[in-house]
Amino acid sequence: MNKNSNTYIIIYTVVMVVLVAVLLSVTALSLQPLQKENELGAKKTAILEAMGAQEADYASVVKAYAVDAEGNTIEGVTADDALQMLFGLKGAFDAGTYPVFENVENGYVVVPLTGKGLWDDIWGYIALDKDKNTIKGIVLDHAGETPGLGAEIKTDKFEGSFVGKTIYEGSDLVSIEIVKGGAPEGAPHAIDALSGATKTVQGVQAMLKTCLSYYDAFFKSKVAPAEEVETECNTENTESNE
Amino acid sequence: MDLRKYVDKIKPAFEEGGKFAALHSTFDAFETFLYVPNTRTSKGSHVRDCNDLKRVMIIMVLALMPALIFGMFNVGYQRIDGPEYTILQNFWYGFLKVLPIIIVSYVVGLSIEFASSQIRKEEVNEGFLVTGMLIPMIVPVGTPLWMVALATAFSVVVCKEVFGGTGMNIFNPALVARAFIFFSYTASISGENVWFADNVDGHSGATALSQWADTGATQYSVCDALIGTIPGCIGETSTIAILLGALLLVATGVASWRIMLSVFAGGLAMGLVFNAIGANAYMQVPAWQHLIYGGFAFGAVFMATDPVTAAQTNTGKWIYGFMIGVLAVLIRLVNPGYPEGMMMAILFMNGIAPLIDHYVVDANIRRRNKRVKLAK
Amino acid sequence: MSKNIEEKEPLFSAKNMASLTNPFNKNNPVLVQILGICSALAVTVQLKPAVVMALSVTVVTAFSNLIMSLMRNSIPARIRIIVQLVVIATLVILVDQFLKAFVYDVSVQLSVYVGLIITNCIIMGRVEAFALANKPWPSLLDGIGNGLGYGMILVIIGFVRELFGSGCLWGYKVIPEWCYEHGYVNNGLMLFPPMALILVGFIIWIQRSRNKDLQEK
Repeated sequence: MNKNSNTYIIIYTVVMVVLVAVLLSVTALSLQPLQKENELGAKKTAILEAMGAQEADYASVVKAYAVDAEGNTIEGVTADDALQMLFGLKGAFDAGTYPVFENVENGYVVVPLTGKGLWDDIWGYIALDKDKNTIKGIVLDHAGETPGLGAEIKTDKFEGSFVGKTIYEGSDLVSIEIVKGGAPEGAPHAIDALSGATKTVQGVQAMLKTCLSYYDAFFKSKVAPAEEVETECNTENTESNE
Repeated sequence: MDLRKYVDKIKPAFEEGGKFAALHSTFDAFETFLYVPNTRTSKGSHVRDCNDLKRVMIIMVLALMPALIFGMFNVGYQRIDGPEYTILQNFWYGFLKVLPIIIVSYVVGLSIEFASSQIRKEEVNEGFLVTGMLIPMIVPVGTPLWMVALATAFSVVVCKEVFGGTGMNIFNPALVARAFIFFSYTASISGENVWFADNVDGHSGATALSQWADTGATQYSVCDALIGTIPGCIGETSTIAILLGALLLVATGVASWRIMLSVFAGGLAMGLVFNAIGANAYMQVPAWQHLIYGGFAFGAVFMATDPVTAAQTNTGKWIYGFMIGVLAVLIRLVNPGYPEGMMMAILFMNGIAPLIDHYVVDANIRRRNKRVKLAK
Repeated sequence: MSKNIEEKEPLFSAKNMASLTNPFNKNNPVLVQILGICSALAVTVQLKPAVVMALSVTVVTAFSNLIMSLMRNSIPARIRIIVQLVVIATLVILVDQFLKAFVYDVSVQLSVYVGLIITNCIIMGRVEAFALANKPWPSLLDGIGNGLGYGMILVIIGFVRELFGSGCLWGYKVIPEWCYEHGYVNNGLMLFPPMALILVGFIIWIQRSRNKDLQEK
């Protein structure tokens, strides 16, 4: 057949398109479960890291659920649903659903954070002790902060400075203040800021204030039952920090 | 012993065929540094001026002296107990802190220049005399010496030698060095920990521009800014000292008053525009204050006027300077990441300057063509 | 009368090996042909993504060369470019899917740049310049050679940028803590694309100093 005749071109194109379509669909469908697992895996790792339980097995250690603005667990939201909310966190927050990830072994709760840095989004996970007051760990990440300045929020040094700080003063959610020039020695609700990264750090501060306030009712409602258990096994008495 | 006779005696060793012929460029550099070159014009008639490149460079360095001397005093004065010491004591303290930076800048820069000229078998150009003095003056006193060395090396190699040496660079070498430090070691050149020489003892604080960016007000008064007793890079704080240097440069014809004037005009204009917009506290700072705080005046007088990188035509110089002023203030007010915009503005316009010249010359040619056509 | 026997080129003849090894130096896609610069800047911030990218581009270039060479006698002239695009795009999508499934963390770091492989001029360039006019085996070798030549440069730049920009290699801290305590600071400029371009410039400088015939007169 003449290679350049219209019939040939049409047949050629149709065959090529069908072959390509079949090849790509088969590949995509067969690899999809693996890919989904990977995406979820990345989120699970971050949550475990915030809790300080990197080696643990997510499925056996973490209980995931969602609460509403009053702090009540939302019925019908499965553990997988809660995890899924992380893929559109702002939307989930706007809809009044707030995912919580609880470590069944030590009672730590991890809540997700999302906010804006200087140039682009910042996000993270913060882990609180059973008393829903003391910070046990935090994982921060950013989309495009300045290397050497704003990007330093992702370092162990900065994240480590949150550990042991408390977010409640009495019954007031004061969150964490990030102080330029250094926080006063032993201040329970303040940490040092990063020199030269004022705007990014202000973004982190605002993110903490906003997102933690979503969980205010939840934290307050959960404290009472947890405290009874604490008296026996809580070796780190965090209340005495003040 | 007569120096001239000594130089003549050892000269043959550095000529072609002599023992040290490979070091000819180095010898030539030192000889012409001390004496006017003995070359004779061979073709056509020339008007000879006593001002050659070397003399121009020396006048520029002299013009930098007031700012440098005050800068050294300021380093001492900005100490936490600075005002308790006498002027001379503060100056001496600052001198000891700044001298290492100057030495590093010259040693690194000149070694690379000498080596490059040697490899190319050309004469060493004196272009680095001024750049070497400028680099220390536009970095904070707390900058580690190895960073200054690295930045100078990078600037001389990538900004000058790669393009062909003195006179062939597109971008201002001193600013390229500063830009290198700014982007490579941002935390070491911004924030609060680098402006004070006694930072080791815990003394830190922000510059006036950072304070403006944060709150719109600064603790340093206009008087402070004019005299220069504010934190900042070593040479850029004292407006008065800079203006003294500007007078010398304009009087000797070494730097273009057109560029200086238009930079200030551009900055003022942009500042007024933002005063009118007034969206945040920083924008409401009176426009004329932008000219005396930060690196604006220093950049306008010493950096923008660099004859190699600025526009060459007179009309071009007006446009070039005006755009620098506009951009500097624009970057300061609109970009939250850069409280100081002068460096970026000048580097950017360095790149645009040839384009400006091209269109000015083009317009001139077209205008004259039209005149010719009308005359016919 | 002599019979016209077509000599079959031995598989690893000098000519074929030249297709494979020329792109390493004399005809390097990045340094000499000046192709594929954009991805060389974007993914070399760290060594691991640079290596993954290099392998991906090699796979895509090699197989698109092979497939196009096999098809070269049946493609209608009028839709030649479209067919090339379809083949290359398909290969790129397959690579993307595999990366997401098997090396997820690197895939996140490479983000959009895997999809942008199709815009890498090296691939279309080699298909047009070589594959459409040569047999499949030499085309495959040419594709592998160009991919590896490109990969070499990526690895060098990724190595320098990660080492001096983050003090790490392959994600592991390499510069010891005592350096930092004595005032050593990571070079932030290395993390920006312009520095990668300057590094490419330095490599071209070194290459041309050593190869007089690459210098333009």
